[in-house]
Amino acid sequence: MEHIVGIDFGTTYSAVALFKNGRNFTISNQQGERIFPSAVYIDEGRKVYTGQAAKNVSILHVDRTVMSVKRHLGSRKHFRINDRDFSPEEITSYIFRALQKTAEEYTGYPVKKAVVTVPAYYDDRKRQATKRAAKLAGLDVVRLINEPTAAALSCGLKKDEPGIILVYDLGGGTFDVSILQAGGGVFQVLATRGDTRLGGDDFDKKIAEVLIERFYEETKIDLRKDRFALQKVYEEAERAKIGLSERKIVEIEVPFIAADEKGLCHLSTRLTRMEFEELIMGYIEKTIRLTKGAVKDAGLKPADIDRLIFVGGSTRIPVVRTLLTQLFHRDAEGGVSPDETVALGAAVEGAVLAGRLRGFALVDVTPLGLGVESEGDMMVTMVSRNTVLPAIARTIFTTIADDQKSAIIHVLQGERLTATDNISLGAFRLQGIRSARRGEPRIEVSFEIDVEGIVHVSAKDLDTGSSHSISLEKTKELSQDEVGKIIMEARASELNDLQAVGRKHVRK
Amino acid sequence: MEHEKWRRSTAVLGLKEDVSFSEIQAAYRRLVLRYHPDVTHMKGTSERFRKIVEAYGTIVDRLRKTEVRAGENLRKICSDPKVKRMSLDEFGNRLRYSSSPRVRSAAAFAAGKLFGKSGRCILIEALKDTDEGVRLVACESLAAVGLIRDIFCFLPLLRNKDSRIRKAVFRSVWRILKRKCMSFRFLTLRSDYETLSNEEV
Repeated sequence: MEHIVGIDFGTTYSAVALFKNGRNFTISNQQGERIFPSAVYIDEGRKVYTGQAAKNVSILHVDRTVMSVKRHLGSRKHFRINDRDFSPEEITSYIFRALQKTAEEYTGYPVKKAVVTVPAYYDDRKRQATKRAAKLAGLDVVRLINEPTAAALSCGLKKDEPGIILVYDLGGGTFDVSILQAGGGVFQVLATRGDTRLGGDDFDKKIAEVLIERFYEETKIDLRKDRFALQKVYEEAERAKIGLSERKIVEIEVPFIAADEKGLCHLSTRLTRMEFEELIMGYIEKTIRLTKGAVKDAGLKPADIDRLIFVGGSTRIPVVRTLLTQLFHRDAEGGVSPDETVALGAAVEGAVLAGRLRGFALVDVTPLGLGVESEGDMMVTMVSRNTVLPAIARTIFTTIADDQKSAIIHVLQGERLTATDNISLGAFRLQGIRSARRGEPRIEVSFEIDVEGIVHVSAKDLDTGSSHSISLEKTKELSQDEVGKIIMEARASELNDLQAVGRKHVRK
Repeated sequence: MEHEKWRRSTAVLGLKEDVSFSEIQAAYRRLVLRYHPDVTHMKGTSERFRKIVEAYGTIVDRLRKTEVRAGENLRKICSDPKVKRMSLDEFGNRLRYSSSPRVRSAAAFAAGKLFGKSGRCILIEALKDTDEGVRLVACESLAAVGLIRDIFCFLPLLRNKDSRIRKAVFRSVWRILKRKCMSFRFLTLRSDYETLSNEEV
């Protein structure tokens, strides 16, 4: 019987898990680590190293290692190594391949299928990029699931009792909060919020800034100019952050970090927990705001939350725990390994999909509103956020000019009113609209979001039957600039815009 | 229109129209486990699944609205001069013999509101009602007027399957304790309450 593994691809650490013989566990690699740094190092001979090996050499070869690649997934950024451009997807695929190999070494069979987790607040573009990266590694992604949902599933497997669960997921690079209603094996997501650019990495950066500042005051040497030193400082900052979860004060010692006329300089300072908390308070307050927002979206009050689950390494920070416990008057669970929970949950979903485990089902929602651009830079939302997936929505649009022959359908995702403020997922042109006075043709745009949160769009002229359907995967072939060009063109002519005439949600 | 929608939604879940929320929830979970695209290998179930989810969403929305409206209605009833003239016995009769859960919950609410401590006996009786809604109202009202010894009347309700009731019980017990025990042995009782709630919730 085939295995479907669960993969948690994180900003700083990744893990792979399996469900076997009625229990789920994370697979450790040959070095005995159960979570691997998401780092990739490519040497002169084009040999690729990942995990701890790559992280260890990151100081020596700053320009040959890529860390936190997840932050760049779905963007146009490229990494230049050995005179060759690597896309974020390619770099990510090396990490997937390493995880796949770990799983294969354990099971002794080829592992071809995986359930991969993504932050709940990921938009369609980043989801597609994750899938593409896995495909490059030769992995068939059976299902993308949201990280907080996976965590809830993993905790629900241990203790299945009805109630409202709040998952607070603060990882290395992303923050998510989801509220679920659990009971009888069904996990229904009620609301989700998050920030895809907030996490432990930002805390490290804050500490590093302080260290650099202090070093500058002492020696008048700016470490920012030295990439090697900078990398070393970041590493030391991360170590200090981890230390501060246990201790009230940490000593930071970096010998021989720079040199001036008088000789070698050492960075030697101390950081207290109070100072650290002050540094990150802005970020933590933002997560609390988002958490409160999610509770409100779900139509609940903080007192209604029955279980509080912590996921991600950054939830080990004491001030995070205290604030959340104060807000909900509840002790947090998350077990001893908040950084493995997500992979474990993905493995459970893999077992459900493979038919190995019965009696569990996830009902997830879309984190962001979805719509099309209409006349005057407006976004017409067709699927509102927190709609249960899979979802279908249809809206009728019309033309805004006499004898308009074609129309641009520009698909947007986001919560803002103006189109330009939202994320553009792609655009296509619907040709062959019946020649008529403005406002007469009826163009039906339908959206379908599947269970993975991936969008399919089609547009149809109801009078001529001319139609154009597209899965947004295809529009990825167009670069973001090209999409931009199409849209600029459309705006310039001002003839191709659509106008919303009636909002009609056929089905949610 | 509203009613028609409700009837259609409960029909999708395979239920009659007058069912309690816990029955709806149980039916919904059963259906999700059968028709969810992840767990079933039958073809063409995704349409069915979407209908089930939509129906459940409609029901939850409607319930949330009616809960708010019911609260408003109860307050209105108490300000009605005719109701104000009614005696405690009359409320008791309505609670015991009326077949409509609405009347019963209104009676429980009014008894607590208009008669204060002397309405307690009626509220304690209402706690044993067969309808969840009535029990919930009784819980909340008793929390406002109850004495410490009334806490014991709540305890059988903790065995209830509906988590809303269990939660309401804890809220009520807590409110009574807070009101009555502020001055003496507040802390010990508080810790008792917390161990109690940890065990159950």
